[in-house]
Amino acid sequence: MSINLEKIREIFSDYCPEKGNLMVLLHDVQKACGNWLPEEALKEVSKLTKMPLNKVYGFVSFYSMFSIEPRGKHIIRVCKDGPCAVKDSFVIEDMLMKELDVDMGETSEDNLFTLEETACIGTCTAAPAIMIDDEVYGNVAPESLNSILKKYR
Amino acid sequence: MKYNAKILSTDNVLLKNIGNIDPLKIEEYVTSGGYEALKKTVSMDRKEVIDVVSDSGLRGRGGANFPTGRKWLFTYNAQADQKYIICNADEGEPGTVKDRILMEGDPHQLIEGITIAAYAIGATKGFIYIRGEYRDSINTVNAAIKQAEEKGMLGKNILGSGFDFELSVAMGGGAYICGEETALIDSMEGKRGEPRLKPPYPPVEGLFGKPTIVNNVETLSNVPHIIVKGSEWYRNIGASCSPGTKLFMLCGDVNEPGILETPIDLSFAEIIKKYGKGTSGGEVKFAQIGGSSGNIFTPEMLEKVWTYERCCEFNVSYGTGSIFVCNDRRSVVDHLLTVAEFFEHESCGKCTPCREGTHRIKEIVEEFAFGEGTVSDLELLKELCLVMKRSPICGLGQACVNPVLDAIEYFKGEILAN
Ligand SMILES: Cc1cc2nc3c(=O)[nH]c(=O)nc-3n(C[C@H](O)[C@H](O)[C@H](O)COP(=O)(O)O)c2cc1C
Ligand code: SF4
Ligand code: FES
Repeated sequence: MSINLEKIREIFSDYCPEKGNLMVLLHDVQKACGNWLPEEALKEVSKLTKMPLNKVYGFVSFYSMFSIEPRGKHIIRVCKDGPCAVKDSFVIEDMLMKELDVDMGETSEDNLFTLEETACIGTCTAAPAIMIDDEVYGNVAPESLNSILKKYR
Repeated sequence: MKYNAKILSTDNVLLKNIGNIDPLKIEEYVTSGGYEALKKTVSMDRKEVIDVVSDSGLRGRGGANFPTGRKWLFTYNAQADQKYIICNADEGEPGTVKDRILMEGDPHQLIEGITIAAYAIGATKGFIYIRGEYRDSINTVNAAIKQAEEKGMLGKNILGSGFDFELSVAMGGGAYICGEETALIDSMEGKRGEPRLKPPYPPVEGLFGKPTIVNNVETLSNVPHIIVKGSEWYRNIGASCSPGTKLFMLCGDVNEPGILETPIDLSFAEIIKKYGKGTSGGEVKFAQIGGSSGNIFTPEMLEKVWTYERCCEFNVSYGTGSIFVCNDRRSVVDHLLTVAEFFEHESCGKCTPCREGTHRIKEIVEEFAFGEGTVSDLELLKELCLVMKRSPICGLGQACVNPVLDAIEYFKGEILAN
């Protein structure tokens, strides 16, 4: 995907350190760039915020929701913490790896899905839980996975 | 159900509206008695508001149990041209879903609580720092803020009182450590979320160096009720040393997982039985209370009522209120490994004991998981944990050893037999 610098400028027109909104805007930029933050985007952000590039890089690399590697169109996050683990989240993880033919952290051949692990997503009373983009799925049964994935295919 | 969490209790205060009103319609909140507290507040003296909250005995619900009124007083007394309030909605403690439910089910209750706190301490700007994964919470709270502004409950000259307060949403980026208040503040300042050395504490020197109150979602959601019904009403709920209701979450091996609200006058065993319809898949072996860094409770401990006083006496905590039940088919070592992996990943790496220690803990627990751990490994693990309890900068490094030390104490035989 080509980087639309104009779009990044537009997003950052609302930038204001006193509003504490760097993170909010970077989430928007990441979305606009197709789920990752290419170098040109970070350079543009550095220019717009007058933050040195290494600081921008240091910031995004600290937070696991940001990626400086290309990712797929949809991000699937599987929770692996205790309450989900005892509800067999690893089975869901294994099935997704097989179905998409990827390892954790990888993107499927068709660039449709990136599979990631996540820390708890606040759906522990309906474990196991996964997230696809902004949508959370609780009580995920192995046999329901295909119909969930279908919505994104 | 939209919130993916069943509400198990019926006689509720904080959860009363959830599922019963449309969170996106401010009128429904108002009809249920909402914003009465704010009306009352703006006619009160600021100090009087703080006194009511102090007298109520409300303690922070973010895990540390600090008296809320006392915290507010620090900031009230601080002299500054700008003060801030931040609502900590970075909820990331495994097993904890309460703040999300409160935001998505009754956002105005929270907004009202924040606005009252802001008035009391003299803050004109406030933020709700919501973790990035909680997109529904972010959208709901943003919509609710807009409605509150339109109704004159936020913004300039609130309810004609002359009090101005601007509230906005700040976002997390997927770092558990940003729940720690100084890391959260650094994150909002556009930095990596690494905890600061304390003192100074945020109530004196916080966001952009200004006096800042950081309070949890559940803490602030209590405030409107205390203002309307009075501190005495609040103090009379539950045990005298732990007044008010607390939200608890049941997950893991229970028949009916979900969220519930109760005064702290029940034992965890009673909560599991009464609300969770008992343990599933076997007898209860242990429960971890309060998230990944929470203590491990044996069945005998679960029989007790854990008031604040008893927690202090036995040096344990119920933290966020999550009750993660494990039945007798679960392996303690497997559980420790999940916890150890969590902390190895979430340690921010700023200080050596935690950065190296969380890594070493995981390595040693792994030895036991592979069936290769020895008696001396276990001794080393214990020693490492005892050092980590004292030396790291922040609560993550200090508390992440709790479940490990508890497991060594209660399940030594099982760990060595592994
Ligand atoms: C590692 C770590 C993570 C924390 N995560 C949270 C959190 O997600 N939410 C929260 O309210 N407090 C969290 N806290 C506690 C906060 O630092 C702070 O004490 C709390 O927000 C104060 O609010 P309260 O007084 O209303 O409880 C965390 C603390 C530590 C050390
Ligand atoms: S204790 Fe751990 S999380 Fe806390 S500052 Fe040190 S390295 Fe970071
Ligand atoms: S532990 Fe998986 S959603 Fe909380």
